[in-house]
Amino acid sequence: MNIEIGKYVEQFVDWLSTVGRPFFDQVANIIGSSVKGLQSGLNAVPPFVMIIIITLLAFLAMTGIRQFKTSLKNYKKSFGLPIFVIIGLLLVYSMGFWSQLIDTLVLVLVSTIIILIIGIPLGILCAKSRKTDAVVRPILDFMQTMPAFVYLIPAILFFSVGDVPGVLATVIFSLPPAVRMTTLGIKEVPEDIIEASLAFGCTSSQMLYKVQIPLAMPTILAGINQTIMLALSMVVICSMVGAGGLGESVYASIQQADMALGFEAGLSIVILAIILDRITQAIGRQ
Amino acid sequence: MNKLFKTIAIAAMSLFTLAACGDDDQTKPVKILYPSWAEGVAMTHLAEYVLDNKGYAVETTLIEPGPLYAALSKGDADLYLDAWLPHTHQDYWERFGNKLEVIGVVFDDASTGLVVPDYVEIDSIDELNDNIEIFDGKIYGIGAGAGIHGNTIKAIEEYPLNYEQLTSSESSMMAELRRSIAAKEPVLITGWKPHYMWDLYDLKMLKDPKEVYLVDQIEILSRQGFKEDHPEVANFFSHFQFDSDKLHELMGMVGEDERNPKAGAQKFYEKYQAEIDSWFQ
Repeated sequence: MNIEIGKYVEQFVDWLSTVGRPFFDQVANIIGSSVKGLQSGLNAVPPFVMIIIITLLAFLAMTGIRQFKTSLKNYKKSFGLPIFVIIGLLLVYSMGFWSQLIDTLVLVLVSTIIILIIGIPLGILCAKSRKTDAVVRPILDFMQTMPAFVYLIPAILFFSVGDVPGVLATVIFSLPPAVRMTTLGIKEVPEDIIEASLAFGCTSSQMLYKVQIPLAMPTILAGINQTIMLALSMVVICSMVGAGGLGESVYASIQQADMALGFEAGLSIVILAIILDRITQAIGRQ
Repeated sequence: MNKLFKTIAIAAMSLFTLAACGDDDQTKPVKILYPSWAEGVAMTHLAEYVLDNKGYAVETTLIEPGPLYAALSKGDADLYLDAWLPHTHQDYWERFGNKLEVIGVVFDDASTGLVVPDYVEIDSIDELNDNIEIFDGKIYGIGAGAGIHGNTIKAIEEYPLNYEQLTSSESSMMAELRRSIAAKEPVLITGWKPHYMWDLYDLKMLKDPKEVYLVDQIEILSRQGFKEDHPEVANFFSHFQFDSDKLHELMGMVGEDERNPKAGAQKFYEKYQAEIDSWFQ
């Protein structure tokens, strides 16, 4: 008894990649041009201006605009992250990895935006309907546990070598927490609040937008934070299918046994990860 | 404290040297490293099968080229059958070569270059600049840091070409080739011989009038002192040679069933048994 599932999958992928060519090209175009456009746009901004912008972002995320006005105590507490941002980004710049950092940042952001567009509505659907949840949950498990190397090659057959298969592989790997945390957040809205809103004659769409989503927001933001972290863990794997950025330097350092290059590029990834993590967490706390 | 360290280090070193002495060929496994390149995979599996068959213990490990050279130069492994010298692996050789020995030459016509499918009507790298739109200005390459990647950067500078090289990995590049050939579209990749791409598709290597891509030998490298420890195995590898047809045949047989490369190696050995056995003389 020898079931050759792999062979059938291969034939199916080959068939799909030729039949679906126009559609895939369209998708590749949209994603590819938005990645390229953002990369060249952000790379055109002088590094020091960019560092100031990100520092301000970090500062605002830490203080929250309202608290900034009311209390000096919070104002003092929120210097830690901005200082780290300045030092960390200047270090990346001085090591010569600035444009790669921007490239990686764009890859992560584009992947995250796609994930939000798909993940949050899907999470809401799962929270509303048990049946949808029963179908989606095993698919999410599959996406999270299937090794990325397995779908990289089909991704190339569909979307050619470059940023696009990298972004899609990242989406597949990092989507589950966004969906799951959204579902969890909405399900955890206390029953008595729901009843009170119903008593005030709340329609179901008002319930969703004015009650459930705002109350679920901290959980949803925690999911987005996890998504960004997972997306960052994919950057090296994505460089194997032609997505550039810091991952490419790490991959090159493995091939050349170049420890110095690997450490510097790896450190840059860590700095980027810490900045994104702290900023999204701070926004979640506000 | 330093004294203590020194003592411990010396004790450890002497233990290691003691352990390394007095072993004969048969008991200490021969450790062969190989990267995931088709010709290296095929040769390594054949060597493993033949040596195994003759009663030598063999261990093979798949590893990226950088760590491979580093491990071999440190003496953590014994052999590497797939060194492209003097050009493609020049960087590695400059860094690690003084701690390595060449114990055989497998093949003397290993070429790298820019490759297109047969149906593309271009024959030379000179013509590329007039046909940028056909190829979308892209050269699909393998990993940054590979020798052929560096050569392609050189080619882009020297001709000069208005192309960008996309770096990915060998499997990604091959997937792109497969995709383009299925759709009968033009595509430009960095290719090399020997490789299984030539058995799968009708391709041609573009002429290289400026001679940026130089012809290499595939050499067998060992750690220092391997010859003294394993004279018989070293002798076998000094005869371990193929012409182009045989190397491609071996790659075809080993690659036929990727889950069981040993079967292909066995088939090849049985076909050329007399010749391969004579390599032990």
